[in-house]
Amino acid sequence: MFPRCIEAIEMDAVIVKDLVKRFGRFEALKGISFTVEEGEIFGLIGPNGAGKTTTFRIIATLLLPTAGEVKVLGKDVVREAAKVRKLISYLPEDAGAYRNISGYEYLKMVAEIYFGKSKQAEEALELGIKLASLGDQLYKKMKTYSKGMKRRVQVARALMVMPKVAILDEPTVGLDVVFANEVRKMIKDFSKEHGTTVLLSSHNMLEVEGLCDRVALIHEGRILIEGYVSELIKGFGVKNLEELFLMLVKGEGS
Amino acid sequence: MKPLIIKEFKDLVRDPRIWIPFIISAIILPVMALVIAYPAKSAFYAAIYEYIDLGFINYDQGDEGTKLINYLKSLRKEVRINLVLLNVSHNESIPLNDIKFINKVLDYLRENNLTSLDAVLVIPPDFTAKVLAKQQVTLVAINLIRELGFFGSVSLKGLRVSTIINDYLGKKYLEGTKVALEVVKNPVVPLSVSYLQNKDLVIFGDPSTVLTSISFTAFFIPIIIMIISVTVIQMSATSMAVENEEKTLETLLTFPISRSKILFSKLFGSFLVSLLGSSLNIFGFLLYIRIYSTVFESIIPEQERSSGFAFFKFTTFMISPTDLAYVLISIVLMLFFMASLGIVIGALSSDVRIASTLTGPITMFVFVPGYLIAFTDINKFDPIIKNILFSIPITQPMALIKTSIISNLSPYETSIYLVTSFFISIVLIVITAKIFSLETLSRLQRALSRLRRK
Repeated sequence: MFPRCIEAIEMDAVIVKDLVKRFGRFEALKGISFTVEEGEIFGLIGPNGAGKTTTFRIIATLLLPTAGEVKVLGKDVVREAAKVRKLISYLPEDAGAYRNISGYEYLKMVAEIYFGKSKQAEEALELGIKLASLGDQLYKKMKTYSKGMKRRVQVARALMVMPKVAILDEPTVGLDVVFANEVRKMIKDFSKEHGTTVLLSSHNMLEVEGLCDRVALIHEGRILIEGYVSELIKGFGVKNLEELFLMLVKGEGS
Repeated sequence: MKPLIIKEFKDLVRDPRIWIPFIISAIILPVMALVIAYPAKSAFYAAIYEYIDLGFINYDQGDEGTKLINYLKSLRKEVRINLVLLNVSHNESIPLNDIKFINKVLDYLRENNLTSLDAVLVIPPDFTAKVLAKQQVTLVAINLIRELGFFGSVSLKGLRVSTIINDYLGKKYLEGTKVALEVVKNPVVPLSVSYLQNKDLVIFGDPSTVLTSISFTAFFIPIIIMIISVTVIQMSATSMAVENEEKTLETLLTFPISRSKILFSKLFGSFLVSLLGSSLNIFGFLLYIRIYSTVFESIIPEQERSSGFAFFKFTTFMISPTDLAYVLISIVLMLFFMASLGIVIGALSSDVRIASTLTGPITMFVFVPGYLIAFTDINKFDPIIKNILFSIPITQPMALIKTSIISNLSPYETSIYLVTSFFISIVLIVITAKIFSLETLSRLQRALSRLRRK
């Protein structure tokens, strides 16, 4: 009983340990480890094809690890997948939309899947409507939505169910500057207000500087470095994360 | 699960692309019936009511030929014949069915502007001799065909004339005897009664009527079920594959809901929509049959209506209401199985195109056993195989229909069969849910792309 008590007190939101994922002969993840603390916004940063999406899919119980261990709030993503799904919400990078369903109907469906027909579901829906802030457009079929509108609905969907851990794969991908900025603000405010742990990824190293508390830089299936954004920049004497990333990649090559 | 079913239903029902084929087929079938029925009707009408323009060439060396012509003239109004006597010279050395003679007749018709005749009848020189000897006579008929329809009115008109001549000569040959022509034509009048042993039912009529009704059912019911099945399997496979193609599946799989519930809600939602759509199809089909039979009933006198039109009534009479209910449930269960199969195909396809490529051959494959049942005697199989055929969804409806026509279905066994059929579909989905994950899908897709490279 004793160790379990300790776990409950100082629980990390996500623990990834020596994670390896192979697709046939291709090794997408070559043993990565990082820890996300409860309540923080953690960024997994790296270029396209670095292994961000694969990592997230494993944490979100969609793929099985080849080796290593992943725990979400103490629950193993392989053995306790159903329990993990209750704690998280996942926003895929290229999440699509049902063509003939309105944004409102979609949010309502998700709320009811999570909470049934209850007060909690109504509250979640209300929050979703607020987060999406699409006005009357929310009641139109999603096939009429722009890419940015669809993304807003998706981000709202992922956050409104008040997950313990929100896993957002490239939440601002394909959005214009204004939309991207709004979505970033929405995520940051939401995390602060509700103490939600957010695990997000981005290939844009500059955009996450203001958003994330801590980051891990990932490249070709390996974590290059992990730490607080400000400390990393100061510690290496670089202008920004991009410069740090390039420096580390070069260093690795030589 | 309910919100997912509702979502599925709404997403499909609101899609105009789904309704267009249903609406088209509901319209096109009745239109097809009209297209076929009206020319047929006019052909029959012409055969029965229109005047026949008949040319006559009389080479008879006696007076029987003239008597025949006069007889036909006297019936002019009743049988609606216009007679035209033609005067074509003839060299006796050329037989009457020789092409040289035929051409001569045709030349004559052209020269005298008589090409609008329906036919030319040639009475041979030995006509009187043969009639007096009560022998069979040869009449050469040259039919002039101006249009070619599926329902040829010319030959039907010709039939009218030849019947009259037959009866005329038949009566003549029987003169002086006490025998009536009808007796010679049909010496036996069948008064047939069929007894269905298993049903303890007596039916007045030929066993062939019963058999026709069965073979009608055997042939048409599978076709109707097949049309609907194709719709059902396509719909569910597509709706499942769309999740994959439109990238909504990934999100769906991370919701706190089991894989089997995801698949079942897809199944129920899409099945409901495809049944709604199929009802439009069936409506079109019923309208097709209705229009077709109405058109014919309006021209064919009541007592002459062929048993073909009584098929439907007859079949329903043969199957008791309870048995009919069993059969209908079984058909719905089979469609449900097809929908489940569609879900499985869709779940394992990465896009809609792959899903529809797979559904085609699978549907064909599934139908082979159904036809096997339709055309073989199920009772000849050994009991285990027989029970299997009665239990699996794809053979069950046909097996039940066949049995219910000749005997009554046992409520106890039939219920077990129906429940088994239902569970086969459920088990199919549950098994699929076990292997249904992004992991399996990406592995399948890798295998596929490896195949493609080879």
